[in-house]
Amino acid sequence: MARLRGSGPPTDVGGVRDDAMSTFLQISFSGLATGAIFAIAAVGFALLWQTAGAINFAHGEFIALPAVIMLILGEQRPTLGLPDWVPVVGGTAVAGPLPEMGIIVAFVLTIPLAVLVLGYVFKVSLVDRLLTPGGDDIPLVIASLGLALLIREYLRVEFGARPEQFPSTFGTARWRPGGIPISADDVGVLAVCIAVILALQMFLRRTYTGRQMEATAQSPHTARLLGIPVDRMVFYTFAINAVLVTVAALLVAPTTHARWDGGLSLSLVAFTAAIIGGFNQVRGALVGGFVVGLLQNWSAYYLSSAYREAIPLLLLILVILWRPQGLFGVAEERRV
Amino acid sequence: MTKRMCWSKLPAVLVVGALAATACGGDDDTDASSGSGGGDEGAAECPDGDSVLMAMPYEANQPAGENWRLGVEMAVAEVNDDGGILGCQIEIDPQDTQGDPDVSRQVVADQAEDDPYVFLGTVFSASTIVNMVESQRAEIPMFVGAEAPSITDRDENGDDDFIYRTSFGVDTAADKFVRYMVDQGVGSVDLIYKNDEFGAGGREAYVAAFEEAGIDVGLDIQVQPDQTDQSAEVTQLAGGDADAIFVFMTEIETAAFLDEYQAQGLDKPLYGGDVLSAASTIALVQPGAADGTVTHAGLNASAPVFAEWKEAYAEFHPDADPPDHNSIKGYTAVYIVKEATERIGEFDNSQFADTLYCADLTVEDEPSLLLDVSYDGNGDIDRESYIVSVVDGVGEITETVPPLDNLDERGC
Amino acid sequence: MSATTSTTGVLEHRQDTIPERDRGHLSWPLAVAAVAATTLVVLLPLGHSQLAGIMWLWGVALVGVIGLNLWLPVESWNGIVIKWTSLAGAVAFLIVFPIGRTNATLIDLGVFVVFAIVCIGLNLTYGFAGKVSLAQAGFLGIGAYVSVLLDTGRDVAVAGFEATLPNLPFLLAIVVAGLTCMAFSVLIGFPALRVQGPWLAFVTLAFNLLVFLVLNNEVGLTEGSRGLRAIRSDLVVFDIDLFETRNYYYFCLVFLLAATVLVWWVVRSPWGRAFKALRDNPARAASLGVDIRTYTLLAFSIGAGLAGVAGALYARLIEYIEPRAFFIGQSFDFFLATVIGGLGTLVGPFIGVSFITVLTDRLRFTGDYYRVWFGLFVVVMMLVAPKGVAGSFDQLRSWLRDRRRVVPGAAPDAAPEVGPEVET
Repeated sequence: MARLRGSGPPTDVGGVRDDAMSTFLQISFSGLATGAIFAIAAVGFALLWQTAGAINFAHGEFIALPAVIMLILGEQRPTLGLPDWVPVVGGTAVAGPLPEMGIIVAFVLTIPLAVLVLGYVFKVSLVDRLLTPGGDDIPLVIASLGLALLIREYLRVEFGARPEQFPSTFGTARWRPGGIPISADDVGVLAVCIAVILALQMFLRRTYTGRQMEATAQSPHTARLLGIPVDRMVFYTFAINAVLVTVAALLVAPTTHARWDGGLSLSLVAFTAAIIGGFNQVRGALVGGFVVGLLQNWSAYYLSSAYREAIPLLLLILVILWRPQGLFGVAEERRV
Repeated sequence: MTKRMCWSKLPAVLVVGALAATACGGDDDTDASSGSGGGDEGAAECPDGDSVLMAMPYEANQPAGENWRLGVEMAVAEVNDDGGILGCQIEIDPQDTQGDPDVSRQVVADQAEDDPYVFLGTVFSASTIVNMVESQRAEIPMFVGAEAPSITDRDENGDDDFIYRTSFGVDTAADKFVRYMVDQGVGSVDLIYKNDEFGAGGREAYVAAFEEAGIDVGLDIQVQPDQTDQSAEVTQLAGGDADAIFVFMTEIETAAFLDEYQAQGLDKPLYGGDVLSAASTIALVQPGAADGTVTHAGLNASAPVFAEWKEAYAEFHPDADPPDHNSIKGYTAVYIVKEATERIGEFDNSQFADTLYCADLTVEDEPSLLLDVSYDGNGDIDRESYIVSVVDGVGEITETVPPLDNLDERGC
Repeated sequence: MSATTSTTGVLEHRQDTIPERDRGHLSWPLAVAAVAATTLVVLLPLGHSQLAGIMWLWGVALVGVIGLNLWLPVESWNGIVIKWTSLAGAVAFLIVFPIGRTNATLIDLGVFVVFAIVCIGLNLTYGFAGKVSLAQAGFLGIGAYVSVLLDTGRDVAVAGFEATLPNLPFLLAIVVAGLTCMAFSVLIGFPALRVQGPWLAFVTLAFNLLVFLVLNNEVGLTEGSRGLRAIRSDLVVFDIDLFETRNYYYFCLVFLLAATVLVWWVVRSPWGRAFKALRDNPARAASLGVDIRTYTLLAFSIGAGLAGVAGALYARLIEYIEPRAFFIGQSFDFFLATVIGGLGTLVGPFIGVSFITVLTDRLRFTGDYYRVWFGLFVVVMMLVAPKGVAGSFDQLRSWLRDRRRVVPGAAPDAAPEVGPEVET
């Protein structure tokens, strides 16, 4: 007989299980940690929609892609392999296995790549062509659906259908103060997520460039009259989004794993969190993420696990109908 | 005036026609002479020139389907190097079903037009339940990796003589494992399962087996596909008072569950479907989180009997993940076809039922079967299986479960 | 995005400037050529021949038919003859083509036919009335489940209630499926009164997800993820045995033709004008006395009803339904098919659905990458033809017409009139 877990009756597991408050705190904290993941996934989506008017249904794939790239760069995963074209592009030197450089170095290397491909190329090749001022936004929605399919299937063919474990940036330490399990990863993701979103909010509100971007978002026409380099401001939006999805990949992938089909569910929570929180406020994504994470856990525990995903969706519908600026957004007239 | 815009698009209707026509043009070459039953001149006659065509519908976008394909490819390469089946080289027609039942049905129907000798696939039960209708219609044997009980249920399928499993149906597995659990003194279990076709199907089979064995089912909790935060569900489990917890989910959800279970410091025994102790799950969890889990495995690559095969596999697919049970299923499927064909003596796929039903296929006949296997009268199999437990992050065989040996109750 | 983004501009076409009465002379040789070319297009693929020469002939005939349609002014006698010939040819194609084909082709074509009905519905809701809906797969699912539950006489249990469902005749089950979807569509029709554009897209998306969750979780009603079988073996309608896939295909085709005629009729009726007024300028429509509430709900319910009917047909075509078939991915597919085909055109859904069914399937010869190519195709289509294939046809036609009109020296009309003018 192999080692089984303690086979005695589970009389006193931690000693705090009967405490309803402790249970509540436990699932609430877990909900917040998950909510932070939702928030960091949502913030880029909200930013693009708010400041460039671009609704990107490929947002989840934008997060899944850098996760895989980081894994290839940062850790030797023979099972991931390299696309056939890599040696062709980079010459024979790249053909051999890459050195193992650690996930943080890989993250730093991935950021410029992401800014180039998910920021610049995405903007120039798709958004600029499809999103004409005052025009219809549906062609871009359709194109992003196609793009999502393209990225997803490419990841599958190139890197396989199997999920890969992604190392946590914050280590695997765990504590159980008062019976509530807390992991270093949870705390780290929460902290980084809040810091990133608040910093972004500060940047948009307090810095000169940020104000210019805000002005561009509110009225490109007026902004241009005021001498703001509108096109460059829009590009900044895409660049920031590219950085945000890379950060999101770094924080999300330890939980969701690096895999080809992780994008759709990430997109869905991103839409939900962004809209519930109020997409015209970057910090709305934070609030929305927390609300969704908490609601899911509360409804799973106190109502029914089957409908844990349904409650945030109902809230989403209610919010759109009665408070389209989001629960915590500020009502203002915006025309992009 | 009003008609103008609508009807003026008609040319485009014809474009659609053009697409459909080019698309379906390939249907015409179904040549009656290539029928598999035509080989009465002798055993050496290959159905398709000097080769034999096998159709492989599989889930290219799922780990299960991908591993199935790798197993099949390896076996096919071996057989072909060895001179083929009855001197005929095997040709594989792999087609992606996207794990989607209605796509899989179209794929199988399309492949049936080329009159393949057999179908190898599919692995997903929901797909198989749908596409086996087409293999039955075309009267082509189909070797599946799917485990849902209903696939070989003759009442539900109108006496399908063309469906053969390559592993246990989950009901057979449940019978065997529940016996073991009773032996271990488990009197009651709390269930947690994934709310999809795989998890719900497994739960159903096991609940029936628990009931029969007199094990009480306490909590019955589901998690949603892709759900990585299971704290609420595990907290509910922590409040249960059963002897053990039974887990039936796929890799991602199982990994999330094990991590949360460890984080909350729970220590009831964990039993489950074979994913719980599979190498692909252990690869995703925190160190130590899977230790102590016990599962029943119809096929488990860590069994000593597969050791040699595993090395060959690693050599053949140097870039692939280590093989799992689906790789073994795919691999042995090819050899079951080979053995059956050699017993028939010619490529006559209408004789598969006569040859395989109630027959024993042994490793002495064909070493690459890896394990002895017996078919019952419905296309289900019986053979020995394993109890696997995870020790220090590695699945270890702790016990070998003998075959049920009840073929006479199962249509023989 | 402002909440009042409309699709103005998507579907504006030049007014045809040829007066109604002046239809010119009917050229008999031309008409005969058109009929001959259409006949070739329809009949040639029938043969069991792969001869390259014949396929070339077929290609030439097809180009001929398309060219004639593009070249001739649509309101001239010649244009009328040719477009009716082409229509008859297209219908004949769907009827004649499956003759002698095998089961697999019939199922492929059957899926095409069923999805075309769904997209025709979506085209009415979105293309003509301007209301985005990403819930079409949800309605397909509701229709499928309602029909299967009602014509198999099952015992169900939901939330403590138990009942034995009736065993309705198939035709009646189809009707009930359609009506149920129309009833549900009111649920998302009301949000459509308040929000537009992307907001509406997200509301309908959430609705579709909720439908999926209910189908997946209410095991007592739907068997959940195990799915429901819906074998056709006992299905006989008007003494026709629908178990035979061929018969069932034609059965579905009848519904497709009916749906096409229905939408064609709706679009030319006063309703259709109201829909387009709603799409192009809701405020103006309201001031002109269009009852916005009624027409918005109507647009949704017709689209959803068609999806429901299609769902009933789909269930019996595949003979098995499970919730994942009605997940939002399918809604995305329907949406992009409708847009790529060409919004607000009768033929658009046909073209679009051929892309999501026939094209994806026929890309398989490219191996593992076939879905990648399809994604790329969608992106490129949006870049080169954001109005869809049918929209591009119209642009091409007016370009050709402008060029020809310049030749006689007649001054072209002033700037094309753009406005909420109703045109069909």
